[in-house]
Amino acid sequence: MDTTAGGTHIEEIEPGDVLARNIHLGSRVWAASEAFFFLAFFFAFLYLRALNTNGIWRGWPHHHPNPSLAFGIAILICVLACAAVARGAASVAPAMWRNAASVALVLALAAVGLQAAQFSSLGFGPTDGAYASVFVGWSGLFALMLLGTCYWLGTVLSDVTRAGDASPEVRAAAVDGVGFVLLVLAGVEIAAFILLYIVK
Amino acid sequence: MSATAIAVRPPVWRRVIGFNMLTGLALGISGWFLGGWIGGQMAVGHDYLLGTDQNDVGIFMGYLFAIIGWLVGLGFANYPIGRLLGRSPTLREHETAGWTRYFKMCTDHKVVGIQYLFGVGIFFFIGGLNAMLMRTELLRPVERPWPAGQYLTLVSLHGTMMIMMTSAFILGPFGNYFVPLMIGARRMAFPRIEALTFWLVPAAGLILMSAIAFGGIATGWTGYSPLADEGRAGMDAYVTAFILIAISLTLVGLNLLVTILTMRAPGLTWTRLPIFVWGVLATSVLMVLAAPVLVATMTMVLMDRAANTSFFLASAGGSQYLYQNLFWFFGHPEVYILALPGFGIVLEILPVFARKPLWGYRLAVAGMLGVTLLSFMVWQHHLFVSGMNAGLRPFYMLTTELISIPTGFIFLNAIGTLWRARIRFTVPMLFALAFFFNFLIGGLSGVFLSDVPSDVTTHGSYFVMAHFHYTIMGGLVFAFFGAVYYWLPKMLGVTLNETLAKIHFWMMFVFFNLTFFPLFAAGFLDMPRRVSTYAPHLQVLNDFVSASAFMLGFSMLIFIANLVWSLVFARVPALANPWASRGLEWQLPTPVPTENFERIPVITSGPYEYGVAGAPPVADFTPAALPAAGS
Ligand code: HEM
Ligand SMILES: [Cu+2]
Repeated sequence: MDTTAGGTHIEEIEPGDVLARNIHLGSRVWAASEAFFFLAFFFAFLYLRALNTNGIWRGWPHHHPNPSLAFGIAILICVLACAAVARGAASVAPAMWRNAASVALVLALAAVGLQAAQFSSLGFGPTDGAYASVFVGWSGLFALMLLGTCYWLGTVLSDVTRAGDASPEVRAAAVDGVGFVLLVLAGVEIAAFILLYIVK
Repeated sequence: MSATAIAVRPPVWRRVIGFNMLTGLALGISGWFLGGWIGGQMAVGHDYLLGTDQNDVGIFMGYLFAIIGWLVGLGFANYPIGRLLGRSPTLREHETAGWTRYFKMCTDHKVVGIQYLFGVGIFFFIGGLNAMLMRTELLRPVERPWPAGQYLTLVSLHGTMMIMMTSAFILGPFGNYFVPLMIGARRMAFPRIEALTFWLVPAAGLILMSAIAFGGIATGWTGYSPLADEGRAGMDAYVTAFILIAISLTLVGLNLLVTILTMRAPGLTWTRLPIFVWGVLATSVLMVLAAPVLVATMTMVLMDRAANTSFFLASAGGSQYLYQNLFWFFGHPEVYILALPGFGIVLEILPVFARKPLWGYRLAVAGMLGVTLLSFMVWQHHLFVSGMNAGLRPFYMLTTELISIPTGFIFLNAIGTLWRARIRFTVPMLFALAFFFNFLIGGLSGVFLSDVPSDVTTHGSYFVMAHFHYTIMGGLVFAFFGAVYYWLPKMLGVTLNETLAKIHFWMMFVFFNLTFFPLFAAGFLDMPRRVSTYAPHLQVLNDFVSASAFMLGFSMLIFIANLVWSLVFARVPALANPWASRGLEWQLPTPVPTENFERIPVITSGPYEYGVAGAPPVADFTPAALPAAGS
């Protein structure tokens, strides 16, 4: 691996609490960016639904896309549970972090897997009108974002497992940060569920 | 340039092999072919993907894999993979690798700043060459030498390239380089993300330019649908490039925001924060909130083109107005992403050369924050004549005119600071003063455009062209050059030739105004944007403009000549603080040591107390209580 010429550990450069504060604040800002990203889809849903251009918001005549509600609920539950566990981890003793992070990771991956499964048996496609477009775009990109967050969870897991070099503050900040981002994603998922599965 | 002595120097061939730009290029090109092939396979069996005569999936997959290859080749995958496998977190990479660190991922914010300066500068120059070609076309009212379609591609490439590059023009080079120095930090909050934001920029620039090979871009820089959905594959390049830039901008904003909020030196209270840093802070807020919306919007275009969704296609239930709304919800904040850093720079420069405290510091901060807030509430002024609900027009007219109030604060600050000052007319100061002259014209013409009755007659004409060139080029680009002449001695350690610099300034100032002021008239005389022909009686006006534009382009060559001369041949070492500035960044030695500060300083007073009797020095550099570097 490409090792660093000046590869210094954080502790040598600055006290860990600066890094911890950076992670704390960075996760908040990142969550805001993600929220604004999905705001575009939220707006697209409401806007296109209200306009109902040519009467084909809900698809072509006699062919209305209806994604399976069972999948929708399963995904919702996985995401909510994942966020609850990850967020809850910040408030329990560090000894529990490893379990919490593992469970959250499994739940998040399950949500992504369920989304892929739903896509493969959707019964309609991206060409079936504006609702179908928003559905495919929003849920697909949400799954992608969640997958990205899984990477972060993975690094948290590997840190708390080894209890290695990262200072306790930094580890706590990472647990807190990823939990916060997942919480915001859970909020997005709730909005998505209500709009995409119930309001339509 | 490099302060660090390199103990063992491996042979050159050894330093070329490894994770660097060359490897990135090689893997990027391989990725392009691999992705194209995968995309071709994916489309098989999906007739809606093959419904057109070009496979957009293949092209997007090509770009995707090219980007992945580029980043992997640069070494961006090593650390993330290492982290998953249990490597402990570190903050620094390649900070002491000699000149080669400029061509690889390096986490030193000073290296990233210089990478940005040259990287963005090169693409800016290419965008400028496009402008020269366009003005060549406009020498005659007929379609010569290029046909209309090629002219349109030139316009789009010029506009998109300029917007992409100028978005990173100030925060990229100067934000990265100077914010840590100005706040007394040794680094940025997230150094690897910082390196990533830079290396995405050349990828975006090259991808955008590849549009030439794929049928060009017909939409201009705004990419309106349904033309964007229908356009040739060059649109795919536009979409991909914009997504990359928007991701980069989001991360730049995130990094700077966190850095400024958490890493200020002790004693650096909010009222002592340099005004440039305030400008960066406000811009960062806009970036982290607006740029993700652009990513989402461009992803929708991508899906419309590659997966045949119908976000923006009315024939299948979508709406092109959705595009306009989403684009400008990003696009108007973007306008202030371009303007605010410029405000920060000129207000930073004025007190140094007026030798007086910045007048109305709090007013300036309030102005910038006010602009930040309001800029999310005005976007529909771009839709005044798109067929929007007429009842909405007065609201957006009002908010737009309101936003000119906090913008106007900046002028009050300038007037108050210059009042009865003994001004030193150095080159940075000249650029800062020119900023106010140009931006005043740009801003006043903006009031015409925010006013519905007059916008109805000027929208889509050269009046708009003149307006935004006055704000972006006359404002931001002049501020950029002010910053270049002000800070380059610190960044590169050499003094620029002042005679050449003054020639550059005067040529640029005179010919900028001679190029763009007549375009207001061209607009009133109904000359439309983005069209290669015009009414024959406008030829004299256009020839005058073209001639001035060529001279304006020539003034850039003088700058480049100065840079090369000073950097390569003359090499007059710069003083540590040639302007006798109170700025914290100027209290450091030149070149700035890798660790920046031997000890984190304690800030003891504001940065603008020029001529204030008994003002303490800005900072205490040897506070006993604080840890030294590497301790
Ligand atoms: C030497 C300096 C420049 C010259 C001579 C120049 C000239 C032009 C011309 C002739 C057009 C096309 C007008 C049309 O047919 O619609 C144009 C468009 C444009 N320029 Fe420039 N330009 C210059 C610098 C800049 C700079 C510095 C920026 C931004 C930072 C910029 C941003 C744009 C944009 C956004 C457009 C609109 C493209 C579109 O319609 O989509 N230009 N410029
Ligand atoms: Cu606007």
